[in-house]
Amino acid sequence: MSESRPVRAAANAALVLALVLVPLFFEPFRVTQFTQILVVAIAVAGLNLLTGFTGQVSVGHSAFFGIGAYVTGVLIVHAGVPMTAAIIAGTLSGGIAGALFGIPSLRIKGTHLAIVTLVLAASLPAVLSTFSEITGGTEGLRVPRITPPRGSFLAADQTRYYVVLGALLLVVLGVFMLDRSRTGRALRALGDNEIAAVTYGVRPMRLRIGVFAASSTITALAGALFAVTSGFISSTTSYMTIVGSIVFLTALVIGGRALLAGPLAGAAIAELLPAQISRYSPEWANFAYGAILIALLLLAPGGISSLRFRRRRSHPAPHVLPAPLQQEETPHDTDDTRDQAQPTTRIG
Amino acid sequence: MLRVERLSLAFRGVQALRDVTFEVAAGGVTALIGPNGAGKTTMFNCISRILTPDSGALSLDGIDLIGVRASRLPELGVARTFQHAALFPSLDVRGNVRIGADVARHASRPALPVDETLELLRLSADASRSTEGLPLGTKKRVELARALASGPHLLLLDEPAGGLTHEEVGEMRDTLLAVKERLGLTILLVEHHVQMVMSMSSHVVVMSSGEVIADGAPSDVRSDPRVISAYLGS
Repeated sequence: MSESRPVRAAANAALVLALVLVPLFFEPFRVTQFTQILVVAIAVAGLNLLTGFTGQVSVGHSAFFGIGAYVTGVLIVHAGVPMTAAIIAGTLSGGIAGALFGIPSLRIKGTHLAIVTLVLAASLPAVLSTFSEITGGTEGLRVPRITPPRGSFLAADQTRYYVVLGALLLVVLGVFMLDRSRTGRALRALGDNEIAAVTYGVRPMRLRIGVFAASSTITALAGALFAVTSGFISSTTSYMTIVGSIVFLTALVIGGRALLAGPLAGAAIAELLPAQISRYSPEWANFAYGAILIALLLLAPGGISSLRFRRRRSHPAPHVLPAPLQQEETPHDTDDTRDQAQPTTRIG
Repeated sequence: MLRVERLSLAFRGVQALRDVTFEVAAGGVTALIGPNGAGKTTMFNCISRILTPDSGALSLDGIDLIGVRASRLPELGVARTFQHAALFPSLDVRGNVRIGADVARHASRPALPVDETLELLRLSADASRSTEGLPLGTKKRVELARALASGPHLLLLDEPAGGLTHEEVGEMRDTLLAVKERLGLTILLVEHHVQMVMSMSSHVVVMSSGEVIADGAPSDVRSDPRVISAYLGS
């Protein structure tokens, strides 16, 4: 059991090394495809922060992705804001929106929260179309892409890949540090058992809004990076519609909760598998994709990233989907209810 | 230390607590006993501020607890355990205990270091294990360790012996008395195990149908006709 940490660290180091080497061995088209996978992995890492830590489910993260992408794109195109500043503004805008939409999470949980966030996801394309003079609506908005700095030996596609990889690694490092902090423990406790967590000083309001904001900030960063790496965003771009939310959630469930390998594996499968299946059998693509996902989850209920360490982990990989979706939380007060409801005599 | 005065609470017309009054003396072990449905856990939930009573007063060392939020209670030195060990399964044993230690650090209160707490509760070997697969007796000890790590003055224990084997009950009793002496704790416990209650309590409060029917030393309470009637039926 004690060897699991060094093994995990070595596996993560090997994974990071492989990620660094990838653009050196592939053609630009593939590097661009891998860049998109990394963008989705960042969005999934953001969703993982919310769902994996606190057990809250958001089907609205495509909206935060879209806010990040559009604030960045519009600032660059219409206001002439430098790219870095625009990315920061786009990222923070998503975080602010997340904090606002995190407020309902104080009162509602599980499937009810999922439905509220679903409405958010469904609304964004309509909002983008309404303001089509600025956003370009369905016609879209062409955004300048990241270019290599002067004197760089990297090609444009490689530069974009490394920028996104750097962002992903920073996000994962941040989440890793959070996981080991007092706040991280409090978040996990809150997700596991709210009443017991509160009894030990955890303040749900602050944490719930904070984690919603942090999660949406990360997903908005993914959106901002999508805008400046793909060079084109529109209200019909799948990541900004409800489809995007489903892709992120699917990737989260498939990948599992390992901080780096989980989002990467999930994003890679969610991005590549449907396209690959379509090449061979377009008619059966959706059916085959669904069947493969079910098989994957039967083989690895904790996600693909749980397979490698399942035997060695100090604790079994928890299910990615939180308790609220598996079973609504039962308040401890039910002890009282039972106590009151069964006034049977019992000699101690 | 803890004063409960004329506390009442009703759930949808069912009077769960009716004018409950008792005191918990500092440094002692007070047991709250009674048949199922007596309102013991409801009383616990009021003290730990999970429930708010309809009327009455609740104070800890002169501080009115009714206006205090549940999340602030550990800062005042109150820790509790639950009837069904309410651990955090996504944290390992050490993580669960550290949640308690986090409270103590936040409140700038001296508390046992986590490793020492684990050792005291014989949990060092299980420190990196998940709490999910642990035997009930070990889960109860983890919960107790979490409570102790928060550096409490008042420890509320909800059926610490519930579901334990005869041997484990004895061990739990010895452990509780040992940590009480070592840390100078005041304990309020809800427990059905009469032998354990009588052997470790200095004061017993008996509840039935939401009311206190007896209050005193264990030997006095044991022979009280109202207590016998409540348990056996008149």
